[in-house]
Amino acid sequence: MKVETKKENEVTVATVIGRMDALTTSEVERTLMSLLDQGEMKLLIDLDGLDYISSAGLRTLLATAKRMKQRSGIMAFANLKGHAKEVFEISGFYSLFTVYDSVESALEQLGR
Amino acid sequence: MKALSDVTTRATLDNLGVLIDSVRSVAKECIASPRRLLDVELVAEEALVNVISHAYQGGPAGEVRIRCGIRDRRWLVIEIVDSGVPFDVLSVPPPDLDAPVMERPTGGLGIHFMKRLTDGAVYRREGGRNILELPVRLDAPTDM
Repeated sequence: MKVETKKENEVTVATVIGRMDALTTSEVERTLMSLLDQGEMKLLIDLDGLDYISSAGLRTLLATAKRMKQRSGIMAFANLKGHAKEVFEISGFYSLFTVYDSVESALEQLGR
Repeated sequence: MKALSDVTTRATLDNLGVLIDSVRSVAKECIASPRRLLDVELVAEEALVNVISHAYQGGPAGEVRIRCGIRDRRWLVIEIVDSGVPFDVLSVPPPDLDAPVMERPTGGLGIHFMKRLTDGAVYRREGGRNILELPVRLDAPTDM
């Protein structure tokens, strides 16, 4: 499990690779929280490399989204598919958040 | 149900991997769809994490037992047993899935997943133990 981050204009792209389960999600949480601590205002979470996510992973994403919202920042997702998409749908996260088909289309919208 | 796997450990996060692996190895033998395998894993994780987090509150962690087998060639059945406080996890009301971000509670989704991805889950309290039976259909895609 790892998170790669890069900055595209004002948008920070965090690519999650591996699993977000009860054992591994704290690593992702640390990375996302440190991005927030650095004052990022536009966060795109790329889930193309996410193999598995449970409610523990969703809790981390929701906690990040709440902190982002508190500071009037923007958080969105890209590349949701397969199992992760199913989990987003069952949990209502799919309608709660903005989900883009690709990082490119997200950057087009968010980078404006 | 004839159990194809049967593992008992202390109910701690350290043991979560071993416990889920026992279910995964049975599921791999009888489920072709990679997506369905992840559903099975999700059901097992959520049920186990619930026991690990809540069953033995305020005291040392007791045991959790997980058994897994096939019923009528159509169901993979996960059975989870603990000796913790009586708790019917199936009686927990569903979370509000339409609440906006700031009002969404951070808990409650695990139980919701467990219910959504199983058919005819049964809880019973027997001999001072919580017994939770979670049947997952082998073939069906999740009812969305």
